[in-house]
Amino acid sequence: MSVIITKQLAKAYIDGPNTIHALQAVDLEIAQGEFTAIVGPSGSGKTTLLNIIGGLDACTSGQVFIDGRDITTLKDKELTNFRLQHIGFVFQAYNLIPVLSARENVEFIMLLQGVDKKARRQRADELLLAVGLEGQLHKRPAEMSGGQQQRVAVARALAAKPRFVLADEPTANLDSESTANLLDIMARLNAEEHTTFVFSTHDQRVIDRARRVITLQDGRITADVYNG
Amino acid sequence: MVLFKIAWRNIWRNKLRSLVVILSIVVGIFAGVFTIAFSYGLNQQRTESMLRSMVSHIQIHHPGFVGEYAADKTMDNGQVQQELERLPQLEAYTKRVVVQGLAQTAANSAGVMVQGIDPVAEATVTDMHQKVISGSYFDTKSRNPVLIGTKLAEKLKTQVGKYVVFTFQDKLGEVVSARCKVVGIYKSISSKIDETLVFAQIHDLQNLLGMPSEFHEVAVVMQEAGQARTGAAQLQAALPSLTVRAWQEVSPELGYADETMSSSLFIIMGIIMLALMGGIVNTMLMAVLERTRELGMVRCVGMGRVKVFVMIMIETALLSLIGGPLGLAVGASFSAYYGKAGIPLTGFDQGLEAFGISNVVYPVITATEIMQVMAMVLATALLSAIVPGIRAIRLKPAEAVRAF
Ligand SMILES: Nc1ncnc2c1ncn2[C@@H]1O[C@H](COP(=O)(O)OP(=O)(O)OP(=O)(O)O)[C@@H](O)[C@H]1O
Ligand SMILES: [Mg+2]
Repeated sequence: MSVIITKQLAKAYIDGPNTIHALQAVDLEIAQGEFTAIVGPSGSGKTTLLNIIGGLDACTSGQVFIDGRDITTLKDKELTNFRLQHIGFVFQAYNLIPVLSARENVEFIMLLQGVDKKARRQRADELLLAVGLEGQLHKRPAEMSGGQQQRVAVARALAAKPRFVLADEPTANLDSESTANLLDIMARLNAEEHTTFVFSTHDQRVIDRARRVITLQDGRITADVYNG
Repeated sequence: MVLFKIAWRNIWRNKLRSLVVILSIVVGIFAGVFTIAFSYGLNQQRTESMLRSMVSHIQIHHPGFVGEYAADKTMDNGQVQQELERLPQLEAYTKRVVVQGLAQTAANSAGVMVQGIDPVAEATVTDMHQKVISGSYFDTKSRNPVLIGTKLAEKLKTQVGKYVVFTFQDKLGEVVSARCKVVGIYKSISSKIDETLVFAQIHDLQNLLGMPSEFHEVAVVMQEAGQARTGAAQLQAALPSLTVRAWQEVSPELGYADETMSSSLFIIMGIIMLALMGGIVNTMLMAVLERTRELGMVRCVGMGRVKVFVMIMIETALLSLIGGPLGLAVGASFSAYYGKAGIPLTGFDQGLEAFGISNVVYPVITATEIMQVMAMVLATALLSAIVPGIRAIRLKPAEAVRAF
């Protein structure tokens, strides 16, 4: 059964006299355990799609089912809680709370979920170990490199035990070494923990690592390819 | 609480800005508290010295005498003395004959109020005996000795040892005159008093007015000024044919001063708070604006509006709650210190004396005022937190994170 299903998803922005069709008739299914890249030129609607799937933005028409539940009908408060419980997010930048340490940032999500302190601490440390940051527990974001920060963001996204992780250009600000490193970690978590990843990217090296590549153009899916 | 931890650390992200805000709160509240303490001190001092020099705590008169100074509206010992002695918190009392008249010398004349007093009893009620700056306080064998104020002495161009002629109407309305010897000149806390009030011995005046055992006024001092009202009520009940008034009624402006003062001081405090609130709100709005992405991000990952609001609220409130008590503490300790040491107002002596204020002020601040200021600080803290909090939760998460 698919984790994510979109049906005739459309998003239009009214911009003065013009209507921008950021997404049009997007039908998409993503199954448990996928490692999927959304690609396409700038302005093709990648961020818009991820935001709508992630419950961050409302669509103009169509439906989004997460585990069979139509999230387009949820109220703001329910949606916030839905995101908290079911979706992990990694953004391009500004993922972390600057005044909290790496460990505290990872714990933060679990705190919002109401996980007790001991379990929080233990899981945060496990996750930071998994992303290779066991030595940086007490560092604040500003004291870490961009790559390290993104790894904390991945650990944070996983802390909630989400159904899937959405990552909007997670490597856009990283050098190639950090990019490879982050991809390694994501791929390993996907392989070992069966965590579903959906990420957008421009970077060919990242696209090459994806097992499924969905191409958007002018808000429409123009290609959907499974690699190897 | 992690929200608290985040809020606290966020305050110190922009140390200088936060310190400026906190410092302005400290200074503002310090200034407010000290102003309150100073004003109350000034007022209390004025009240006490007025009571001590003139008004005393309770006054008893014939009902017709009050405000009229009619010489024939007298009372006699009878019940008065007996009832006074039964007053539990009585400190002292004295009888007076009071008459309006004209003082004349070869040089000039002036309208005056002559009080016939029993010098010994009077000294237990008022402090006029300590205010004599030349001559003596009725320590004399002279006939018809009088004590006059410096201002009057100047006006009449007279001095100790010289004579002044006083003219007034006696009990029956006949005009009588007496030649009195100035045995002393006093300088009280009030130049108005110095200009108009003359003291004579009670029996001299009684003889002159043809009322050998009668008097117009009894001035009573209780152990504490605060006991005046209950004492007066008790006396009034026992002496229904007379008018018994506590100092607050005799000299309403002294009583009102406290009330008007406290309301005007709280207006001042309110203005200070409002100004501080403006600064706090501004600072926090700036902080919220700077953190648009960060706040958008936490909303995206599942932090609810209420929690975000509370987080910003805590941060805002913390600014006031660090600065407020600090300012209050500094203000209160300054007030306490100067409440003991006194603040000399050199340079203002002349002007203040006219108001019945001596030139050293002892600030007074009580727990009540401190609590009130504390409540205002708290209200400021919470009120100023609302606008930034609302701004923070108005952010649309998706747009906030998009704004790269
Ligand atoms: N708030 C908005 N108002 C108006 N138009 C918008 C808004 N957000 C996005 N768009 C438009 O929607 C279209 C899709 O934008 P989107 O950000 O999804 O593209 P993208 O594929 O993520 O591009 P990039 O690779 O540059 O990140 C673009 O034409 C964009 O200008
Ligand atoms: Mg994008």
